[in-house]
Amino acid sequence: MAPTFSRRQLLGLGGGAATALALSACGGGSSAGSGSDSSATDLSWFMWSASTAEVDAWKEVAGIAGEASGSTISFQTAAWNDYWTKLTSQAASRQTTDLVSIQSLRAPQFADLFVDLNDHLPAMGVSESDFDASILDALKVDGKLVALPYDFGPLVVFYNKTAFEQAGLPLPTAGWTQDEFVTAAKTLTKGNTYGFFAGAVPDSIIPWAMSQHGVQAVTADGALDLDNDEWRDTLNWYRGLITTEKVAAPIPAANSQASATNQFLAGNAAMNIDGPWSLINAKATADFEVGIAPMPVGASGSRTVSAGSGFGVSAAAEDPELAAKAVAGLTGVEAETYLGEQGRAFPARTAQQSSWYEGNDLGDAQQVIDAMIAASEPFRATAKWTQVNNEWAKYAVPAFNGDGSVDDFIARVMAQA
Amino acid sequence: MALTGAVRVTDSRESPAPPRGPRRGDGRAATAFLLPGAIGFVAFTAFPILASLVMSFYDWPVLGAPSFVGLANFAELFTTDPVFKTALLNTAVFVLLYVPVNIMVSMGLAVWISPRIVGRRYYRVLFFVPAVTPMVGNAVVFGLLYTPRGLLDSVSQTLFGVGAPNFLGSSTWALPAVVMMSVWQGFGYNLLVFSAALDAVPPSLTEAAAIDGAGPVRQFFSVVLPLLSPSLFFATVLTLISSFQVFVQPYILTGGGPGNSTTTLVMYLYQSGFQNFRLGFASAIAWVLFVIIMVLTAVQFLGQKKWVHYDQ
Repeated sequence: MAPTFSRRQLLGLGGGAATALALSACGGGSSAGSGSDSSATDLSWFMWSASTAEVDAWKEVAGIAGEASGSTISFQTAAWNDYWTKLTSQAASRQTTDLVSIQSLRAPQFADLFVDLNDHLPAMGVSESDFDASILDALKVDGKLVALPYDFGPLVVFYNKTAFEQAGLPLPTAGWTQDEFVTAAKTLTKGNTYGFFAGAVPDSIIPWAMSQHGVQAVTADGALDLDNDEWRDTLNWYRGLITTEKVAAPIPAANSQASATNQFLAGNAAMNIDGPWSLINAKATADFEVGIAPMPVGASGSRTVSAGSGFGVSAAAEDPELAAKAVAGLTGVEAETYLGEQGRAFPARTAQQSSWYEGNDLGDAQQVIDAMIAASEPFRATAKWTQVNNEWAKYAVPAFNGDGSVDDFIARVMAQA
Repeated sequence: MALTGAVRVTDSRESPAPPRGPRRGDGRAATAFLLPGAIGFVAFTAFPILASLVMSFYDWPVLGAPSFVGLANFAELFTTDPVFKTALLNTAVFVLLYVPVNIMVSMGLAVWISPRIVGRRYYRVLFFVPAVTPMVGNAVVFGLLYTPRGLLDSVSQTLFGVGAPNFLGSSTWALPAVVMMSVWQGFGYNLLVFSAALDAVPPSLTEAAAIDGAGPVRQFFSVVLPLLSPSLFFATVLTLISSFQVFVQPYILTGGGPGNSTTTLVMYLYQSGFQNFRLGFASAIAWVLFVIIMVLTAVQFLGQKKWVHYDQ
């Protein structure tokens, strides 16, 4: 009798114990930011990445920053879209990592997650003037410095140099106009290729609104404002590229942001709006020569917006001072030089930008990027920017494809203000 | 019912006066065996369900402190919220299109491979492949097929000289396109269920019907289909539940657009919670969905008496 029972009990209890173990392991995994069992100098860092090569580069940077701050930094990662979902669930359960990566456009939305780095700057040994002013500004929310930037860049025109040359078109240079842009796009549109890729996200249109009317989607006071004649004009012009000029393909779906780069790289669209962060990959991937040009001159000149990303300290970090020092390391001279040379980031530290040009043989891009940085404003966003972005993408499809109206689009997006 | 009866009979026969010791021992062992499952159930099902019920009565932001709002989230859903009704309608349309088409396609193919045709086992595997491929991958591939100048557009251009519509970019076509992809993804599972049930149909019954002069169609509808009704019931209930929870397909294919034409309830739940940071509001949506599914499933269980035959 006894042996039978003990065997049953053993089995059952063993199963129970295994489950309990598994459960506690799960709990430990999800709380990997709180560092309850870790030594005092262990920090965790969450960052998005798209490939193993990228992960290796970030781990290298974590090593650099760890050495600089006297800590050990463990690296966690997720793909770009998942990153924001995961960060949200971590934030909701108060389980964020000590060091959190943030894009400037999302800084207003996530501002409460971070400590104000202004208070730590002296101890971090960081001087604000070493960084590009526009991206530093973009990472400030009502004066609170949410993060220190590591990369940034202005939105510019990427073009298919080979296609331009084959069509006998002059290559776009500083001072080229929007009329010249449309003419080139018309010439390049034939068969299965289009002259331009029209996207369904704010990023693809705001540089045009800047060049035509000097307006962004968000005013300097931080209010979403599309319901004005300037925006109506730019949106109608943009829609015209698809519906009347037919130099851009109808937008295939609301969530096709990624396809902009792919369509350009596949040679299906000869021009596209993108930032320096995509340039090295574009040059390596495309089987044609990739060129970049400033925004075509409109009524307000050749203007654009710049955006970037940085690293901040979570308000839940156990040792914010140490974490701040690690942020200084992640965005320090050594890390920025490494990221620049590797082509992983266009450095937000102005002095280190040369490492990006020289390390990647991009001297010819320098003139365009420098000029557009000078002609750019920080890309302004609101605390509800993700919502605005979603609504924009969903209603841009009918509005730009000609199934819906621009006024309806404006009303829908403005409802997210 | 029959099962409980059987157990009771064996009980009374084999243990007229069970000694106390072994009985208590069984109880302990049973507890031990149940414990892993029970812990999992409490931790991963019961607790989250209750937590979400509590959250649905709060204004629960991702960052910052929650505040109690009573039924305000539900009131907003049913009165002022502009998207919820659209999402509800989209989900209903999806279910009404998807469930019948899925059942008909899987049943049709199961019947087609059910006679002793050559290589039917390979067909089964082939048809089951979409069901085991990750849905995200399938959705991405379908996105490429649907896109203007994609495969469907090019084929239609070549065959008919007219391009296909911009499936995912048109408010009219987006939802049917999502349904089509979902059917392709989902029919394999039900096909296996029906295929197994068809194999269990005794040939003597169809032979008898044939001798009585019933043709293949009559045999199917009067003999085979009634015998399949338990499987059909099972497949319908599960397919209905899963189709109310549709999320991945619109998330990957359309992002809920164009406009809100493919925003389903779960899609809206995700956007409310994870993108708009309103966890309480998202929980309220989850509960509305839960109640809808529960009521419909209950109705199906009540209705099964009329058409499901459990005895041969």
